[in-house]
Amino acid sequence: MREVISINVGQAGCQIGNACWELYSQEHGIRPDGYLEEGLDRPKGGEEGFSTFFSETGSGKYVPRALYVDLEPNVIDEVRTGKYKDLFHPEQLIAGKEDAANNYARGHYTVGREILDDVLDRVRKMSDQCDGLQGFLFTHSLGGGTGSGLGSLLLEQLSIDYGKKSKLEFAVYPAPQVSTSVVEPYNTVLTTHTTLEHADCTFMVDNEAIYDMCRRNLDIARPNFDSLNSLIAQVVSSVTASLRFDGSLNVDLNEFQTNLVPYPRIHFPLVSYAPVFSKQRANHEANSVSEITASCFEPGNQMVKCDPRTGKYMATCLLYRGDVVTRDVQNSVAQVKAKKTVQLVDWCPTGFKIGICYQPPTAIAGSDLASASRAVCMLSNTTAIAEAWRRIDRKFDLMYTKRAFVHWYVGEGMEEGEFTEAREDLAALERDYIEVGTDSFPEEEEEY
Amino acid sequence: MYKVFDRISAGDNDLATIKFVGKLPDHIWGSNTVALGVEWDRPDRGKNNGEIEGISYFKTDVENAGSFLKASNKKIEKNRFSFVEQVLQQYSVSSYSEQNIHFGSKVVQELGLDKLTKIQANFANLTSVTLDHQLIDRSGEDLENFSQVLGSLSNLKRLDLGYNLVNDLNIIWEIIDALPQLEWLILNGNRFFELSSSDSIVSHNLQKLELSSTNISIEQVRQKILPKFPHLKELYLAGNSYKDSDIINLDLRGTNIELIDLSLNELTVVPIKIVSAKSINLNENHISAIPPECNLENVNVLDLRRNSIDEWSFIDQLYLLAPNLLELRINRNPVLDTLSIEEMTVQIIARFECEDHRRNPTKLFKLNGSPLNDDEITNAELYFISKVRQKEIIFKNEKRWKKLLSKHNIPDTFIDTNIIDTHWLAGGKRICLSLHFAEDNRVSRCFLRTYSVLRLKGIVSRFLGDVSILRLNLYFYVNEFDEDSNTKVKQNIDDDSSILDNFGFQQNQTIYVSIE
Repeated sequence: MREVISINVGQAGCQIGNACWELYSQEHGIRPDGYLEEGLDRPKGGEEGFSTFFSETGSGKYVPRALYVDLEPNVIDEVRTGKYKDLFHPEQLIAGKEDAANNYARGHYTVGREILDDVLDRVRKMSDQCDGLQGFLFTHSLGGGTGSGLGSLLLEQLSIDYGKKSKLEFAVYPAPQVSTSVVEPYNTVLTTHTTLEHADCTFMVDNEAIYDMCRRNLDIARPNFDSLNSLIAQVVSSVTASLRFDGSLNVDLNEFQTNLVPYPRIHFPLVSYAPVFSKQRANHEANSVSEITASCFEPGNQMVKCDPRTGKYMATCLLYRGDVVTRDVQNSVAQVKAKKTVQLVDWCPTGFKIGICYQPPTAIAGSDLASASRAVCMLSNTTAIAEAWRRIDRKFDLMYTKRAFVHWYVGEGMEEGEFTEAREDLAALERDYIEVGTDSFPEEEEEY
Repeated sequence: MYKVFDRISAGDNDLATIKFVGKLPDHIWGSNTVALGVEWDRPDRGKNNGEIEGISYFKTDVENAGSFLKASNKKIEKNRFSFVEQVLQQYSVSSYSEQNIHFGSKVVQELGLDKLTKIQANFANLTSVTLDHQLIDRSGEDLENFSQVLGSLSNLKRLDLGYNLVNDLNIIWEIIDALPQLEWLILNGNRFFELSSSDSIVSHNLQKLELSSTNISIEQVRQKILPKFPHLKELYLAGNSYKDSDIINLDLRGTNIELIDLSLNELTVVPIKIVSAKSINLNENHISAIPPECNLENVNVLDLRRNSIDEWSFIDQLYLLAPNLLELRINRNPVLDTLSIEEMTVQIIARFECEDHRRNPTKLFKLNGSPLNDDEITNAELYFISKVRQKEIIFKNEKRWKKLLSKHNIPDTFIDTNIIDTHWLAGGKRICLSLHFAEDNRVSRCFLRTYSVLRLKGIVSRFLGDVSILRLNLYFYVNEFDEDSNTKVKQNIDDDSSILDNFGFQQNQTIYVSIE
C-alpha cells in the first residue's frame, strides 16, 4: 500500500489532471462512471499498483485519489459536467469564486489563503483513507496566478503537515505561443523560489516544446490547450506508470527520485518521450527500440527546450513500456553510448538506469497521438535545463528593472523585497547548475 | 542459390528483390561471376533500369531502381531465418545476463529486465510480438517445433513482421492460420509476388492489416486479402504507388472495412468505391478533384493533407458530398498555402457546418487536428460573412450561405455599397451624403445617422489621401434643396463630437470639403 494523492491546482493543473485521469482510467479498464469495464473482474495492471492511484468504495466503484483546486469555478464546472463527472466525488472538486487574475500574490496571500483551510481539510480526509501514504503529485502551471500562488502555498503547508512525505511536481513552464498574461515570468520566478525547498522533484513541461511537438510531429495546424494537454498526459502517464502497474516489473519512482536528485536544489529532471507521431502516419513510421531510444536524446522529443549536448548528465533513467525485448534494450543503450553525445559528470558513481513496464501505452480515443506498441520515457538530470531558468530570468529582469506591473503584487500585500529575494535565489540556482557541471578532478596537465 | 523474386537485404537494412540471376558479358566481371539484377525498395539506391550497355536484362517497376551485384557481394546478408527461429531467439531467452555497459566510470543499471525475460519466456503471456527487420523469409513449417511454438502463442493479438524477406502471402498465411486470436498484423515493407497458388482460402478473424510500402497489387488485395479476412476493419495501403486506375478496381462496398489508408500514393481524384469506409486517409497524394457522384455520406474522418487541391470549389463540394464529416485534415494544399493558418481555419470553419467538440457533436468538430469550440465557430462565421459581403471572398455555395445567414439572424439582402439602396433608408438609420471635394470631384456615400462628425472627417481624410483631419473644414448649405431662396445659408460642421443626425441633413445633401 503505497498511495499517492494527486493535487491539481489552477486552470492548467485541472485540465492536465482531466487528461491524465482519462488516460489512467482507460489504462486500468475503468469506465467514466468509475466502475470496471465489462468483462473485467479486477482492474488492469494488478491490484497493488492500481490502488496507489485509485481507492475502491464498498459498491465496487473506483475513485481517483485526486483533488482539483481552482480559485474560479469555470474549469472545475467543466469537470462537474464533463464526461468523467461520475468518476469524482463532489468533495474532491474545490472551486473558489474569485480568480487569481494571473497574480501570484492573489493566489498566495489574499484569495488563495481563504480557500487553504478547506483544501487542507480535504487532503487530510484523503490521507486518512490511505494505509501508507507515499506522497503527493502536484500538477500546476508556473505562469498562472492560481497555479503558481496557491500551488506553492499548498506545497509549503503540506511540507509542514506531512513532513517527509515526498512531493513530486509536474509544472507547466510558460511559453509565448500560448501565453495568457505578461506577468508569467514574475509568477514563475516567485513560485520557483517558494517551492525550491519544498518540492522533492519537479518535472517541467515547457509549453513551447509541447507546442512544437504538436506542430511538427502530430501535424496539428493550430495546437490548442486540448492538444497540448493530451500529449502532456501521455508523458505524465509514462512517468507514473512504474507506480501504477505492479507485477514487480516496474521500478519504484522513489528509487528513481533518489537516483535523479543528487542535491536537493538540483531537482528538475528533463523528461523526453518517444515515439510522438500522429495516427495518420503511425503505420509507416519506424518505431524500433533503438530508434525510439535515440530520439529520446534529441532535443525534438524533450519536454523542455534546451540542448543537452551543451550540458552534462548527472543521472539518466530510461523507462520502457510495452513490447520490448531485453536484447533490443541492451543493444540500443550500447548504441547511445557509441554515439558519445551523452556526457556524464564524473563525480557521481552511478547514473544510468533502465526500467521496464510491461504494460503498453494507451492512446485516448480521439487523441491525435498514435497508439504505439512500445514507448520510452527518459528522465534525466542534465545541467542543460538551466537554460530554461536563464530564459525566464532574463524576461523577469526586463520587466523588473522598470518595476513594471509590480504594483499589482504590492497591492495584494506582497513586499517588493520578495521579488529581489526570489530573483537572487534563481541566480543562485543557475550558479548551482554551473557548479555541478564542472569536473571535480581537474584535467591533468600535460607538461611538467 | 538465388532465385528470381527472392528478397535480399544488403548494407543498412536496404531491401531488394532479385529480378535477374545469370551472367553478364565477360568483360564486366569475368566469365565465372554470377550476377544478380536487383530492384531496390528504396529507388534512390538504384542505378539503372536493368540495362547494361544497351542490353536489358530485367525490367524495374520503378524508374532507375535497379542495379547489378555480384552474387558473392559481402554486403548481401547471408543469414535468413524462419519465423519460428526468430520468435524463439528474440523472446525466449533462456537466461538473462546483465550487459554492464559502461559510460565512462559508470555502469548502466538494469532494473526489471530479468523479470521481463522470465515473463516473455512463457509465450502464453505474449500479446504483442514485434519481429521487424529480422531477415525472416519463411514460416518454419517444416521444423519439428512449429506447431508447438505457434500453439503456445495462444494469446497473441498483434504481430509485426514488417521489413522482412517474405515474398509470398502464402507463407504469411501459414503463420497466421495457426494464430486464430490474432487481431492486428503488420506486413509493411515486404513485397508479395504470386509465386504459389493457394487452393482454398481459410478465413481469419483479423481486424487490422497493415500493407504499407509493399507495392502489393490491387488484384492481390481483391483476390487474396479481402476474401480471407471477412471481419477486417482497418486496412492500410499507404505508399504503394497506386494510381487512379488501380484504385478504381478496389471496391470496399459490402465489406466491414471502416478505415482505409491510401496515403502516399499517386491518386488525383477521390476514389469513389472506397467511400463505404468511415475513416479515409488520402494524405500526400495528388488529389485535386472530387467527382460529383462520389457519395461521402458514410465518411466521418477524412485526411486530405498535402494534396493538390487548388480551388475553394473543391472544399465547397466536399461540404455538400460529405454531410456527416466529423474530423477533417486539409492543410498544406495549394489553395490554402497563401493564407495564414488563422485565415485558413476561419474560412474552412465557415464553409462547413461545425460544432463544439464538447457536446457529442454530429457535425465537423475537429479541424486539422484541433478540436473546435463555440466561440471560435461563431467568430469565424461572422468574420466570413462580413468578408463575403465586402466581396473579399467569393462564396458560391448557396445552401451553406443561407444557413449561415439564418444562424446569425442576418437578413438575406444583397447590398452593394456603391448603389444607394432605398430599402435600407426606410429604416431611417442611414443618411446618404454627397461629398464635394471640388467641382468635378464628388463622391456619394451612406453613413449611419449616429456617426460622429469626427468619424465623418476620418472617412473624408481617407478619401483625400490621409490629410490630417485638423486641416479639414466641412460645411453645408441648410437650404440647399430649397429652390426659391436666393441666398444660401452656410453652416459649418465643426463640433467634432456631435452626431450627424443633429444637423438635420436631408438625403443626398451636399457636404463641402475644404482644406485649410
